[in-house]
Amino acid sequence: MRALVVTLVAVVVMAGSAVAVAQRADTSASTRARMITALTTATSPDDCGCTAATRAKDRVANRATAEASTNTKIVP
Amino acid sequence: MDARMNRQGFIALTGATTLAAFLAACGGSSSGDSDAGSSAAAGGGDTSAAAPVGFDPATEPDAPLLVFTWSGYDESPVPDGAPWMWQEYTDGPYGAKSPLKFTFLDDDTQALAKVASGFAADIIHPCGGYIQKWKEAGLIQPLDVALLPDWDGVPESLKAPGLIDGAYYHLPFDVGFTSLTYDADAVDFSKVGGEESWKILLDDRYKGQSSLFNGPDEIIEYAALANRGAKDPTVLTIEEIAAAKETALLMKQNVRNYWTSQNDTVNDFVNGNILITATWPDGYWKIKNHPKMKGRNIQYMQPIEGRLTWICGLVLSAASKQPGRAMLAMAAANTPAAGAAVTDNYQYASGQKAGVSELIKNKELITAFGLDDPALWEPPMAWPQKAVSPYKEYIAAGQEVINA
Repeated sequence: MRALVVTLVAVVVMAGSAVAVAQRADTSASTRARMITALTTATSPDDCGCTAATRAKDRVANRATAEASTNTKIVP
Repeated sequence: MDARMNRQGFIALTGATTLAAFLAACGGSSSGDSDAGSSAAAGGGDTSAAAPVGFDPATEPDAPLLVFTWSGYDESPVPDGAPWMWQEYTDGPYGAKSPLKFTFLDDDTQALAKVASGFAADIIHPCGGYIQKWKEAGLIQPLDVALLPDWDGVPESLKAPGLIDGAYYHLPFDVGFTSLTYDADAVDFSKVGGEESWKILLDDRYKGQSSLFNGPDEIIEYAALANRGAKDPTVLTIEEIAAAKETALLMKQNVRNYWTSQNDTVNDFVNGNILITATWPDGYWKIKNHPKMKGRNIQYMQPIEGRLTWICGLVLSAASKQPGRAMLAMAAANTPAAGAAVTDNYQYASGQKAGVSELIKNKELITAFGLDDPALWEPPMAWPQKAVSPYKEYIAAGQEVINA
């Protein structure tokens, strides 16, 4: 009898854990999906987001050009 | 006896497991297996609270810190990178245990989507207009400013875009103006009131001789400043956006092009193709000091309506498993030495102000950009480029101007 109770408890617990993990995974996926949807609707497709990106490209190009033209390392 | 003990132990163990499973199902924390996205999502739920945070770097796992930043700000040797930005962290107690690894942003919107999709960065480097989007998406968490020894050296005006719901989410690092560089030997403001003004873009004496950055929101901001004077150009009514669009369309009649690389507009300027162009500080500096400009009176406009100010900096990912060490890496970027190096290497200003001027090697840059004059960096002399509102109307109006 005791063995049966223990087995039942174990089965219930394991099932509960599996459900919990599945629910958590589902929550993560749905939360992420909601987040991406929110970002998509909050960000215009025409927003290039390119201001800092443009600076980054120019920055590297300029430093490389400066080094090449002077043939010396620019020290910080 | 042993059997009874075993059963009790088993029941106690399974009971604890059930409780843990219940907590997990209810969205409790504690997950060694959660990926970046789910952690970010969980963090997102928590970040609205402005409760003080207290990270402990010593108890965090030894693993690399991933920095998601712009090209030119990694640890690569100069000229490709900026080792001076991270040196204090690299030389510190966690530099070897949690070394920095770098990945580069393509642009702000791409970075948002990438992290939202589960890319597990610890530190990210967005700019002012996007901080709110990172926060709203639950992708970042409040900074533990107690781990930033030089935090007080950052002016409140620069901290403001990152102050959300009473907590700071953004450490300003690289900042600068957006304004017009012009040839004062060829351009005068007599037809637009006699003082430096964004209205110069409407003066048809310079038709085909001006150039502007290809950013839809900025195009509306330039026009809004011309229309409304010294008022925040990042917040407009629908009617004001419509009016700004009309003004921007008039400006376009004098515009040679909307540039997508500052290097291109610098070249256009020094080769005599244009007399006026929107630039960041380094663009002005390159034009002013270009051999072809020798003897010319090149000015960086301080318009009566005010310049624009961009503020980029570092945020802490909600998914970070080493938030304390990430804060220490941010602290390295916030030192006066790193701030001075930003100016000497890139001609930008730094978020850090205290003790920086003394360390800047090229003192001419201090004068040229008013680095020792805080008033020049605050309204009404300069308007921080935070998230424009209403966002979609701004972008749509600016894009219509570009496409017209």
